[in-house]
Amino acid sequence: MTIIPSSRQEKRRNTLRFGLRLPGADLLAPAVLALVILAVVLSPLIAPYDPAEQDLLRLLEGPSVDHWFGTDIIGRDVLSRVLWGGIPPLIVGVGSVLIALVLGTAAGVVAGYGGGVVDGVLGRLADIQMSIPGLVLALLVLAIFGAGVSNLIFIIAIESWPLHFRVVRSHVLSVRKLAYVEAAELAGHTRFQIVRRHILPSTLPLLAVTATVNFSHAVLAEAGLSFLGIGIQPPTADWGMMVSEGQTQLSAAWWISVFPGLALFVVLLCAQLIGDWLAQRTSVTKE
Amino acid sequence: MSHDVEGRRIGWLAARTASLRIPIGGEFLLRRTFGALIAVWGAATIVFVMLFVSGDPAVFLAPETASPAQIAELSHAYGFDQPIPVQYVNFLWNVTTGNFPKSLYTDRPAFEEVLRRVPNTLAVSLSATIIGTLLGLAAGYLAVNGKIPYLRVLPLRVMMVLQSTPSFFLALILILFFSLTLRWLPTGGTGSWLHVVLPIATLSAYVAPSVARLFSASIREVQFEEHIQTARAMGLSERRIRIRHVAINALSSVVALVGLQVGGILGGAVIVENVFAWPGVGELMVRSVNNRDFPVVLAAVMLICLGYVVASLIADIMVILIDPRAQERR
Amino acid sequence: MSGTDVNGPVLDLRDLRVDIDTRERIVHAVRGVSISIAAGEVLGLVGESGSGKSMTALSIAGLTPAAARVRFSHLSVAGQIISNSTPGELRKLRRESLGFVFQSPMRALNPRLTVGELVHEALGEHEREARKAYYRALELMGAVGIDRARERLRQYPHELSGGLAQRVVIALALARRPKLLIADEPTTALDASVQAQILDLIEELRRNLGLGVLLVSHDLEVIGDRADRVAVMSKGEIVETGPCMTVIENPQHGYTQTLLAATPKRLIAERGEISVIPVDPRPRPMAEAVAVSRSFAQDGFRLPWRPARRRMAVSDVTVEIRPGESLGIVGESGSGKTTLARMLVGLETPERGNVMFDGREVAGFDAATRAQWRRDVQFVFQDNSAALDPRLTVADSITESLTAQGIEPVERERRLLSVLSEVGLEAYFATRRPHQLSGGQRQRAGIARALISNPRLIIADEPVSALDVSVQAVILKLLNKLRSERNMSYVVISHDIGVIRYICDRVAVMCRGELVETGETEAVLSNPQHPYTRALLSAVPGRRLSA
Repeated sequence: MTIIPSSRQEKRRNTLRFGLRLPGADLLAPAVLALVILAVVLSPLIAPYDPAEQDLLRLLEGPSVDHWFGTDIIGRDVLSRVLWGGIPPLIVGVGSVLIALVLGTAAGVVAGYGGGVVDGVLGRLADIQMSIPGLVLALLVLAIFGAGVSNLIFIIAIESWPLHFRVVRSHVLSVRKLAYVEAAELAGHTRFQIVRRHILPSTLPLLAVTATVNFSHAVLAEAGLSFLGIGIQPPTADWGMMVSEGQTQLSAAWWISVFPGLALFVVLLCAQLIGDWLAQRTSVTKE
Repeated sequence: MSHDVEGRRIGWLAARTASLRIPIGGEFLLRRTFGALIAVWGAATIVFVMLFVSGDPAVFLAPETASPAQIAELSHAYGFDQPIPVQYVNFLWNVTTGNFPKSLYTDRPAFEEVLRRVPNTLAVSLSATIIGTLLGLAAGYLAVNGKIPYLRVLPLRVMMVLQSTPSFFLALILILFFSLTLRWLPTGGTGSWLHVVLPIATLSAYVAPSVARLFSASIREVQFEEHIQTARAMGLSERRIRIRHVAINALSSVVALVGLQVGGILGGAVIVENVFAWPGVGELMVRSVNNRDFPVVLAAVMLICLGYVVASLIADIMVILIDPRAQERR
Repeated sequence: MSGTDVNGPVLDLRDLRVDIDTRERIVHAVRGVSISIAAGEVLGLVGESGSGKSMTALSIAGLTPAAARVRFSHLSVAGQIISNSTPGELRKLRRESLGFVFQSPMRALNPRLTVGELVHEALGEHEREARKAYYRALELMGAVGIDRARERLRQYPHELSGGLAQRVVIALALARRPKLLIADEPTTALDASVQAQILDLIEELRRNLGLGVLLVSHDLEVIGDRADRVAVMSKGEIVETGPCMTVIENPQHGYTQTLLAATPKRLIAERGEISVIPVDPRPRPMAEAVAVSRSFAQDGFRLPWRPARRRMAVSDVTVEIRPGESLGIVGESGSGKTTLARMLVGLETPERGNVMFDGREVAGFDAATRAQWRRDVQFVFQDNSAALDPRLTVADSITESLTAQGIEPVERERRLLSVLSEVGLEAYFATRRPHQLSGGQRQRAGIARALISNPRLIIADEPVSALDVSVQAVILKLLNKLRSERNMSYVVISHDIGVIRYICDRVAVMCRGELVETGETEAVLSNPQHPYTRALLSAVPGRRLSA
């Protein structure tokens, strides 16, 4: 009897893209993210100090029992500011994703299913919008129309809708050709019914993934713009802005920049893990 | 021995190149150039629309202390009281010829100001793109083909951490570590080649993770394609197959990704330049926005868009060189 | 380690066993298969999907997937014995003695490399030098019948036609002068006329080079034509083997008999006269396409204001179906038969000409008439794994048209059960999802879906081509039974002449969008008038079986 070693193709193993194989690792990211969101939402209740309150006797103090994250250059408690500072990123993140989702999905369905001129127009619109890099466009818009939460949400949503649009459109195009959609047409359903019954349900897994990616991108964009001084303005607490405030004090008081930065890191990391997990789930079910 | 089937003589070079062909079709080039022109035109139109939606553009172009009368005068001088279509054409013409107003700050032509900074931005962005892509390719390749199985996850995990770190935060961490603690590198500005290390490192860390992820996923996909079986059936060594047939085929989607990412890379360059006080277009642009120096902002935006379009075109061409099928319409 | 016996068989395999470790369990794909092939001999390995024939072929070449465990008691190729081999040994074997031809040529060729570069990859070390490589490449092109070789060297695989690409694959297999050629379904993905050419080529190479050939196929007629000896496989074992003619004329094993019985020739013999339905003597046909034409825009760059180039899919075709008759539309891929069928049912609209039903133009129907027309004309799709929404239960898909009409659940249930018993599908299957059903069951579900609205005309697009041979026979019989019981008309699209012959009264032959010949099935098939029809018929395998 002889055994032939077979040609080397990898078995598909069921691991997350980035290789986390811990049991329960699936739940870790959503749990942490939920915790952070909860903390931020409850910040008015749980923050030990008022984020604008200045203690002029204790400037630039490092982490201590009274101030877990230390104080900044005008004596404000960094922990409280970190808690409050999560509000703008989350509002902007969630708000812009919702708007972009609705716009992008509607456009994608109409373009993919209706086709023709509408598809061409929408596609061109998305393309043209892609011709200005995101951050640059945001800078321009905010420069002209002024900074502020609603403007931020608006511009980031506008920047993000093509993502959902493309994914949905491509999916609808491929599904539309499938026999079961044609069969439904033959059965006598109206287009609207077909969209509702057959097409939309299958886009939901895809949208879960794009929504997560969009969220990461939105938070990053908001933080970046606030860092540059063009997003959220002082004295409102905001993670990106706080990181920038701490840059000059980096050698003396690293905690001013590092803690808000870590908060951003944690949120983004969790969002990323969740997105990966969702992406893996949706591609497996396709097979 | 040196005659081909029809009895003609053939030289070595001719034989060597007999199978080679540059797969770029004229149709493709035409289509892409057309697309590039549309993109630039689209960008200019967007800018134009925004300027006019926000009110009287003259307000932006006049210094902050200008009186209403001066603003009106400026408005007339720029032709803002003309009908919109006329202004649109003028605008397009000015953009094409680089005829922007003078900077409100330095009183020098805005376009020149921006142009002077292009080499700096180019240096950092281009180097970071190349280095980041190479790092990402290495990480992605190792993640699939690495010799030690449990070490394979390491490159991708590192990449994931990098991807979740905002560029500005990473920059500050690097400064904290390398400049302030170890004192190896300066915290910003220009002067020596040392000044360019941290900016490039930070921007490369932006590029690398998505490259790594896509490359490893792409390799896994290509591995299962049927032509790899053909290569095995031909008796080629696994190593040759892994590189010449799998990896290089997987490369095309990576190059396409980098092309799409150019926008993000340029955005990242803006941030990096800002943190490290690196005198590039991005740094100028942010400063000008904060100073409300609009002519410079406009000039910077248009120039960045132009660079973006050109970079996309180059990336698309490179994709075709690797995978000739990509020319076909979607 | 290796002895070389030049006079021995080209392939000597004994007791091959292959187990595949899927996540749920271990599948015994091959259970003790022994094969031997002499130089210059063609052995046909035939079986349905899951029989293990492909796995056998792959095992000989060492190309099995990682999850497969391969064992045998003896394997020698061209006299070189393989035992306790390392991967290096096997690779050497593949390089020197073995050539493998895969099923789908378009997927088997690396899209990034030109034909010339591919050939260069396939050549042996000593032939890699630029000029030698060039001549050898041209030589190989000639051997497989590729003209304009110099040009072809520069082309990419996606620029080649299916037949040409397969020739390239064969050239690659021959590059190192193997003694054994293994061809795994080499023609399944190709058009009928091209199939014959490729098989002729293999035959020619066998003669000129003295190759031993292992020909693997599910198509008994192909094997019957081309193989000297045949081995029939089922569920991992060889159930019968012997000289081709002997096995075909006098099959011993039950499975072989089933396979042979499923070939259309036998089916027809069994069926006798085609079911006699009184064809309505009224002059008016039920459904017609009158001078219809349809073209499709071609992709390609154009300036936005210029119209796109168009490709004529269907060109001025007139066809009619009378009540109670069954019309077959036959042609190769690209002939327009599918587009024509889709126009008849309303999935496409003709650009010129009209589709008529009961003498009136379909385009002019008002909403109510149109709804009725939709119920009268139904469509059965080719591949019902795509035609049934994977998210819905089979029952929901079948009753979809009733749901769209707003019929009450109770009534829906009643009609569902009635239709299920007609097609022979147990009721509990309907509560499952499509992927839980077998291919044959899915096809029955597709037919049930068409039947539930009580149509007068059913248009079936390749109703059996996605199925295994034995299942095909069953479905075809079912279709015939339904037609006579319900007094329906059919339009059957197929590339398979055997299917048409079995189930259709009349046939229309299409080529490149045009209708080239039409008439009574037997008449056209036994005495074709148009040159294209003649060519099509001569390319059909199974001549030996028609004895």
